[in-house]
Amino acid sequence: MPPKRAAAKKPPAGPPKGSAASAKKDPLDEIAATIQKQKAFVTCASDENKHVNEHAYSGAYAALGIDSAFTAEKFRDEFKLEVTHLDDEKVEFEMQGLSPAIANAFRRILIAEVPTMAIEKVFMVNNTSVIQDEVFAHRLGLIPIRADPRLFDLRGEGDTPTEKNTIVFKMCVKCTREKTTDGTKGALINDKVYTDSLVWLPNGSELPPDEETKFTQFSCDQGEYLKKRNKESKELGEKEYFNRNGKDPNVISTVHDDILLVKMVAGQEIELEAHCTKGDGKEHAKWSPVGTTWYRMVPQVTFPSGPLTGEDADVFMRECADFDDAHACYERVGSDRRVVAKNERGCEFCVERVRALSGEPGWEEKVQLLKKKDHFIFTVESTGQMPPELIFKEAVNVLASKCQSVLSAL
Amino acid sequence: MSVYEKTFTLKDEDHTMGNAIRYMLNKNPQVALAGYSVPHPMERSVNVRVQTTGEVTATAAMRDALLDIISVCDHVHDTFDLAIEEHGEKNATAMETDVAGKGGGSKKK
Repeated sequence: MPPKRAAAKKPPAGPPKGSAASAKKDPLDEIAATIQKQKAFVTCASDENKHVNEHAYSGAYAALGIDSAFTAEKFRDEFKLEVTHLDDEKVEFEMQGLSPAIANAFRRILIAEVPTMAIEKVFMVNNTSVIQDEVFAHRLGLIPIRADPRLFDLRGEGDTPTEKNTIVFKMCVKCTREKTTDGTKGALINDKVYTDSLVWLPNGSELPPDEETKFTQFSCDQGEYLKKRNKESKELGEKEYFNRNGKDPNVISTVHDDILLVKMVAGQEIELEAHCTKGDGKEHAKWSPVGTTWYRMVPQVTFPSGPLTGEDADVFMRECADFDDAHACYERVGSDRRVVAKNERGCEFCVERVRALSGEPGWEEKVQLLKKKDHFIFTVESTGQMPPELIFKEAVNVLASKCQSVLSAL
Repeated sequence: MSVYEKTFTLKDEDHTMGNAIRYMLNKNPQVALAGYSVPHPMERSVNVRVQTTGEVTATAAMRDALLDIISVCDHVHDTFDLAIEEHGEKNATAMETDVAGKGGGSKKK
C-alpha cells in the first residue's frame, strides 16, 4: 500500500508554539510539561474532550521519572477528602487522589448494592378502589421505609418471616361521607389516602393463618428486638444514626407521612397488609438508598498564554463574564486591565461559554477549560431512609467486603 | 497454562468489581497484562485475566490487588469520618458566631 505509507511519512513536527520566544527553554522540558498536563487534566475543547484516558499501567510515564505503581503509603499521602455540604438528605464532598475506577465503584455500589428495607409482599384483603391490586402493590413498594437495614437479616426464598427479617404494616381505610341533617351531601372522609395510613405492626401479621401459610412467626415484639440490637451496637461504640431529629430508633415508620397513595369515593375501601424485606438496588430500584448519586471532575478555567489584556480581555469579558451583573467569576485588575479568574473553577453558567470561546479561531491557546482527572465532587442524595453520610460509609464497607469474599475464595 | 497466567471468573459480580480489580492489577509492576470482560450482559459474572511477569503467581497478584482495594476502602472510610466531624465542628463555630442565631445545622459558613 504505497499511498498509505507515503501519508504516514509526514515531515517532522515543528517545535511547539511559543518556543521561539523562549529559545533558552529545553524543548524536552516543554514536552514533559505538556505530557504532565495531559496526564492530569482533560481538555474540554469546543468540539471534543481531549486526553480523557487514565493510564493505569504501572510503567506509564516512566520516561518522565514518574512511578505509577500503587502503594498504600503513596495513596494515603495523596488522598484528600473534604465535606462541603451536609444535611439530612444530601452530602457533598470532594475527593482527591483517587482513580475513577474506584470512585465509580463507590458510585455504582451506592446506587445498586447498599441494602435497605422496602415493601416486597402485599396481601390484599379487600380493594374496591379504582387502582388495581398489582399497580397499588407496586406503588407501595416504592415508599421509603425508615428502618435501619443493618439491624435486619436478608430473607431467603424459603425462610420464615420473623422479627429479624420482616417488617409488617397494615392499612385499613374506608371512604365515607359525613352525615348531614339537611339532606345535602356531606364532605368525604378518607377520600385521599396518604402514607400515614400505613400502621406498623410490631407483633407481626394479624392475618389469620391458613393451612399453607403462616404469614409471620415473630418470637418477640419488633420494638424490643430493635432496642436490643441498638443497645448492642451502642456498646460496640457505633453511633446511633437514627436518633436524629428526635426520632425514636426503635420505632419503624415510613419516611414521609404525606405521600398520596390513592384517591377514593364514598363506599370504596382498602384493607391490606404489606411486608417489607431487605434487598438491594440491583434487584429493584425500590431498595436503592439514594435518589441518585453522582460525581463530576473539578473544572478549571486557565489562560495558557498568560493573562488576557487589551482587546482579548474585552472579548472574553463580553462572551464569558458579562452575561449577568451578578456573575463574579472573573475580574479586571491593574493598569492594563487584565482578566483574572477570581473563581478558577468558574460556575455552571460560565464554563460552557469558556468552552465555546476556546473553539473560536486563535483562542485555543488563550483560554482553556480543563477538568482534573483525579479530583471529584461527589454528591449523595438520600431517599431519607438512611442519613447520606452513612450510606456512603456503607458503600465503602460493601466494596471492602466484596473484595474480602473474593479473597477468601481464592 | 502456568501459574503465572490465569482467568478468574467472579460470580454475581459486574463492572463494579471487574474494573476496580483491573485497575489495581495494572498498577502492579509485576503484572504484565490485566483485563476484564463481562461475557454476557444478562449473566452476572465477570472474567478477570491476569498474566504476570513471572516474579509472582497470578493468584498472588490477584490477592495483592484485592488487599490494595481493601486498604483504599479503609483509608477512605476513616478519612471520610474525620471530614464529617471536621465539617460539624466548622458548622458549630459558624453557628456560635451567627448573631441572629437562626443558622440551621446545615448552614454553610
